Amino acid sequence: MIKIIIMIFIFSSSAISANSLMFQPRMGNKYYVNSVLENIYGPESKIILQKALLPYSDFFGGPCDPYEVVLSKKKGSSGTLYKCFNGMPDLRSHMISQPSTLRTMQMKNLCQKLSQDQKTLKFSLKVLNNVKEFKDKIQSYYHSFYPWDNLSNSEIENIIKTLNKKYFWKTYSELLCQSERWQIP
Amino acid sequence: MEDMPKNNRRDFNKLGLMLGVNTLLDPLTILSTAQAQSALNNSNVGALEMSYVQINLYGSPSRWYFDSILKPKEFSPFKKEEMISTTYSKKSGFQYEHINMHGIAAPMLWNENIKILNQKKNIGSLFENSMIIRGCNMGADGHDLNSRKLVAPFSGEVSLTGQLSDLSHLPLTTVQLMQKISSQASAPGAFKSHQGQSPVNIKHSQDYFQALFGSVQKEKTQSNYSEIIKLLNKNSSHKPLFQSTRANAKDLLKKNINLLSGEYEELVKKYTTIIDQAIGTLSKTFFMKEKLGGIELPITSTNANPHSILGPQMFSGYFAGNDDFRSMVKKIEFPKMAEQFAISEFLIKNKITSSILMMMIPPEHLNIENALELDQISQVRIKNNIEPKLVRKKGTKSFNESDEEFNFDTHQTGHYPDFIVNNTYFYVFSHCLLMFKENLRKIKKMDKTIIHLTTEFERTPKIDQAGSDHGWQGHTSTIITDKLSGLHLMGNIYTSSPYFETPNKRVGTWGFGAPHQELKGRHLSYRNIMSSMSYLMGVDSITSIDPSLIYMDKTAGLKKRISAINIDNQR
Repeated sequence: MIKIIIMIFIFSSSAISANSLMFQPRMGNKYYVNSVLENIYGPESKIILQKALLPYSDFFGGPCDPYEVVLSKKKGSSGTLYKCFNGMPDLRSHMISQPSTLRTMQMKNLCQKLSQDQKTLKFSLKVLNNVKEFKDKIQSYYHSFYPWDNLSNSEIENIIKTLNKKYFWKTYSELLCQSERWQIP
Repeated sequence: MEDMPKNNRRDFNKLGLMLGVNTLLDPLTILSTAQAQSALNNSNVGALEMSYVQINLYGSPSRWYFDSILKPKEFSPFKKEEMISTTYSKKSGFQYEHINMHGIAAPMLWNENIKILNQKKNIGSLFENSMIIRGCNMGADGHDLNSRKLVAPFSGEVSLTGQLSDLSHLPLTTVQLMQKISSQASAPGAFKSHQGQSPVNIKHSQDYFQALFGSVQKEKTQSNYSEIIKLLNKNSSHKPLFQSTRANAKDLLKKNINLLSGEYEELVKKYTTIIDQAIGTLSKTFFMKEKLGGIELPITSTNANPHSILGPQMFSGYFAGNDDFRSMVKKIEFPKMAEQFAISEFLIKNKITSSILMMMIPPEHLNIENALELDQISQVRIKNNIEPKLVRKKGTKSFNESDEEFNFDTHQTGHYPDFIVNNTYFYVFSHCLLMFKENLRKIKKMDKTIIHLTTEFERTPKIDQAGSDHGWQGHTSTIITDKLSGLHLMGNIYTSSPYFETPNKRVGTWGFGAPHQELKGRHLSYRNIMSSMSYLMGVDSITSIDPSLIYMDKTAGLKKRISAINIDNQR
């Protein structure tokens, strides 16, 4: 009996120590976010992503790849354009990033642009073409960001109740895009 | 098989117990638990009320003009080194003169009067509540190594900036304003936090405000659907963290960044005006009073090496030939200086971050006249003249440059340009720093802010005055805060380098660190400086093994732990 108590003590203390270790989630870098969003919002989203996502290596992580070189018309090495939107210092950006205030704000801005643009929103809504029920449409659109997961009936009800009917798809798309869970690869 | 011992359940339990105890006593487990505990303690925020601003002059310019104190008292032992000067006159040449202020023999620049916020103040008033720690042996040479050490004294370990980012509840982690040439290999790259946070790096080419808040400005409506986002994040284990980040973002949005951008622009204007005012009054300063003329060729010289005569005129690897070296700064510019001070004041005032790293950018648009390359000069004997002369080679032309950049790392900056440009830089910089300090004082933040002015090391002049090298055996850190009362000078130095270094014998006083009785005969370490700053900020030192150089005495108030003596080593 004593042995069992000791064993329980040892295991629980180990568990406590493991639990006490703090860590931050590793969020996907700008290339990951770019790839997911381009997939959802279509080729028209490229311009928005190039302006509102790819230059922000500091917030999103993702160093540029010097092997992906595009030569400009200028002569000499200074005319070489890398996929580093802010020049060579981007080479040293982190591979990954953590949640941060600036990343959250930039995502808010990016998602607003993607959902406000008629072409990109329209492309993202293509997945609903063959879905008839409104609730199923909410579920299907949710799958664009979280393909492995389902919304419960009560969650869907909650969404319908909260969001403005007039701008439903725009707002729903923006909020899904802003949510952090899909940004963790 | 029969010889093999049979394991029964009792043995298995014994083994389990042993392993369990072993795990509990395992150094790694103990360490990880301790680290976790420390991280948890560190995350017990709300305690951090202080702001930390490191002003980092990467490259290490000559600071004897400004805040590297080489003579604690008027009659302290001091050995003259030609290039280490604070004044120039045609009559006496270059001298190391001082002014008695705040109880020390301060560089002459402290005596310059400037007008800040309608008040006349001298540059010395910057240091009325400060701590100058000199003679700190950095242990090794190298810009990047020592620059990184300035925020993270143990290589690869947690940095002060990282620690403060962990402790702070403010929206942004450390904001790092990058220099042109400094890379992640220098101080900004040494950022490391317990909690794995990242700093906010802003490149010198970016608009600081746009880089930080550009996305916020463009937002027109603020929809509040946080409950739906919470729902969409579902049962993610990081949900609380996401919520706190979102709350921080919301806090920033509440501040109405659109209105605040006006406040930032106003600050930039004020700092730009003060810089213009400083440039406008340059001609009235003591260091610009007298013409500092260069030597004209041909000139008699028995030494065929042009450095022996023209060394003090060296600039960027060639010999400047300005008729008057004061003309070097007639169109001088200070890139990003106004913006750096403005954004720092803005961030502290609006409680957006607790730590800022300002990597200062050297001045630009320097004017060089009649310059000659080394191979354009030769030694000749002119007819009927026994003495040889240095002359410009026939068929070669001198050249002018009006857009030269200054390099803080003055290996190839001779005495003349060093004297003129560094004095000018520190004069203008003092205007901004004093305004920064007074503005923070006005909003009652100066006793909650530590301004840390620092470089990787000091400089050891070359004997031919053609530049100066790295003096890593004598770093200086200046800490300005209203948490202190009066000026506290600390750190022993030798009056001369204890050993000769060929080919440039350094024989004068430049700040070579000397040991301390109070530290049991050892040199001052940068870790002591780090602990002192942590002590002032009321946070645990990241180098707790090294004591702080100040402590609170119940009756006498804040006291110094070490002296500031010039030790005459008779060289």
